[in-house]
Amino acid sequence: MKKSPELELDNFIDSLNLEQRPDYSEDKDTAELQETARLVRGLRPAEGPSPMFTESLYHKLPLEGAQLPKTRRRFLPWAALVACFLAIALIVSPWPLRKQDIVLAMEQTVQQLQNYHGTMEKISSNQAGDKQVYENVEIWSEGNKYATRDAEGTMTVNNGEQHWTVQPNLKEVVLLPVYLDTHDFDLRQEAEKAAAYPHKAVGQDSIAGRLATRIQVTPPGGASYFLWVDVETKLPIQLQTAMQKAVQTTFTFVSFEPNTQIPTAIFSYNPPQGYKIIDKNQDKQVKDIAEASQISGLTPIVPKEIPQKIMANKNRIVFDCGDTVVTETLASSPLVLAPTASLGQAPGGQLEVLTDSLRWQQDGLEIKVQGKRAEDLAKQLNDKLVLPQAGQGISPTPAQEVTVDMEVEKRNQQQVDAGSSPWQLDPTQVAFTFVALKMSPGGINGNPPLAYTSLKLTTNTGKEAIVQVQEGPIKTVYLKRLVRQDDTGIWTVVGYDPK
Amino acid sequence: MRKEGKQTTIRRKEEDGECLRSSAQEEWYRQTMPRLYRFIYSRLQNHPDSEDIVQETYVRCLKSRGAETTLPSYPYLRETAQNLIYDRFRQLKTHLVSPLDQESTDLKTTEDNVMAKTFVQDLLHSLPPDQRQVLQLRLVEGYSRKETAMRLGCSEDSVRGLQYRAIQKLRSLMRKEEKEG
Repeated sequence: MKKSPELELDNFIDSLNLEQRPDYSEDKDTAELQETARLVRGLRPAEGPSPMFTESLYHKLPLEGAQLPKTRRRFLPWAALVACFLAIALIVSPWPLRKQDIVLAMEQTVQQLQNYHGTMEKISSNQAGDKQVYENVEIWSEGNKYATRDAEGTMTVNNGEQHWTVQPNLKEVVLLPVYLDTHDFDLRQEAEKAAAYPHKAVGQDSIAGRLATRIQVTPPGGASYFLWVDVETKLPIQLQTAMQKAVQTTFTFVSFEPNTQIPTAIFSYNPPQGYKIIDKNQDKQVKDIAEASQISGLTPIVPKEIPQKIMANKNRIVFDCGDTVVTETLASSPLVLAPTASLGQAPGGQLEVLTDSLRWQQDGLEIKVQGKRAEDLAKQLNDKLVLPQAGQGISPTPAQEVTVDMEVEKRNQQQVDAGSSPWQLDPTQVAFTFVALKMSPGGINGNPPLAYTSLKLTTNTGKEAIVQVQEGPIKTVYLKRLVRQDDTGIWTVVGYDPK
Repeated sequence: MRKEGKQTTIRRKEEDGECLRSSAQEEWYRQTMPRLYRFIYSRLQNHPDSEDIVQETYVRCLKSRGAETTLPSYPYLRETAQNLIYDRFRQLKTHLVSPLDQESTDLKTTEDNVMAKTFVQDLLHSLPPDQRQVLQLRLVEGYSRKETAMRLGCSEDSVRGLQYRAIQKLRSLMRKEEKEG
């Protein structure tokens, strides 16, 4: 007779408690619950081996003639010299210069692109090489207007004024927020990244019947990915991401027409008759600040730059300045900082700084500025904002320095880029782990030896951070982003002050 | 003049004959084995499997040296053990609860273990008191269903139902945390 999930879980727990190998359920849901129970069980202090097992294993091991492990020599002088020579040869060689021309030409061509129409294929593949076509979408792009249509006929359009999705299978039209709409394989963004990051041409391939140069792009401290540039048009036509969490995605324009005639109907809002309209765009466009104040109930702080659009809802006003958006909402609770943010100063409080946004509270409002010109617009709203500078407020010499192995840190960075161990992006969590392991060097048995809340991040410039610790033998932990200095970079402990 | 070695040699009688083991080798074993065992036990949570993996780890690492006579370092032993544990999980066809669980089976560092435990501990504290208590008693402290029922002042059937609901709730909290990042 099949056992109930409750009974299977109960038996599983009994097996764990009796130190027997537990049986997992055939039912996937129950097996997941059993795994969850195993995770909780992991909070128990890890037990050691029995004396009998310890002695019996010792006598079984093939140890004859074995010697103690030696310290590995990590530095081979001749190998280092050869590496230096090769590095210099690459720098001075004309070959990388010629390839940079391709990327420069691509960047310029993309900037000059007026519009395009094409079909993009998105394929996911795993480490075994199995491929799955995820989607095929038809794309139209012209200036700030962008439209896509997928294989099921779902059409999503952002014409700069309105953003909507038409779903024929549901007979629905969904209205969406118009600002900061992001896309897969954004040609402009990819061209900018390729130009900004270290890159090199590594070959030529035929992509959708067109000859293309394969460019390897390597973000600092991250895994390389590939971009293919059409030899003739100098436009990017394929992007392949790095393998992350055992999945790699390839975006390919299987057809591409630059600077073509795009029908005006594509970007026009004309909901089909009989379709239900669902409004998920909470913000309504208004004509002026007065109307925005009336709807929102707020007295906003207005940027000096005249916004392209103003939108409002209860307790919320949005100034759309094109590539940057200012959102002002009622500050009903204290500012909670994002763990990966750098810290700056706003009058009366802290300033949260991320790669493309700034956020702070002022005059009863919480203000977020997001986009390419976030810093400029934020300064228009409050010229007393102080952004973090590297070295600001950091003591240069911790009482105890910590030796760092950069090869290990680079590997850790790659793992985090792939989605593992994201806690390494948070300086407080990195400091917590460091202090916990200082207090329990052999590893944590049971609960960590100090409370997470006893740590406080007091300084974060984005490149350096300081964490104060109340419990335990350490007073202050100093951290740096050693591999990459943006909010995708991991933190590393470089020193500390003992109590 | 040949220097007197500091190592002393201990002769141990085996069933099949004699073998020579130095005190340095013994010291290496005494230092690495308990630490490795606790590392493996913290993941498998039962002694029979832990003993299997410990033994297999040492044998593999010592045999893979080939002509080299150097003893394997602790990080190498731990790395090998981690891979053997992962293989064991795949053989058991265990189902992953969340990307965090994938992370817990792939944990390569003690630091990851600290953060994983802190994460589970935090979520446990988010549960309603009765659910938290039943998991604390049944899983962390290892009481039987009967002992747990006595401590909670309820029936064994109630304990079975309560622990099931508690684990369901914990799983949904984990998924929610992973989704929200």
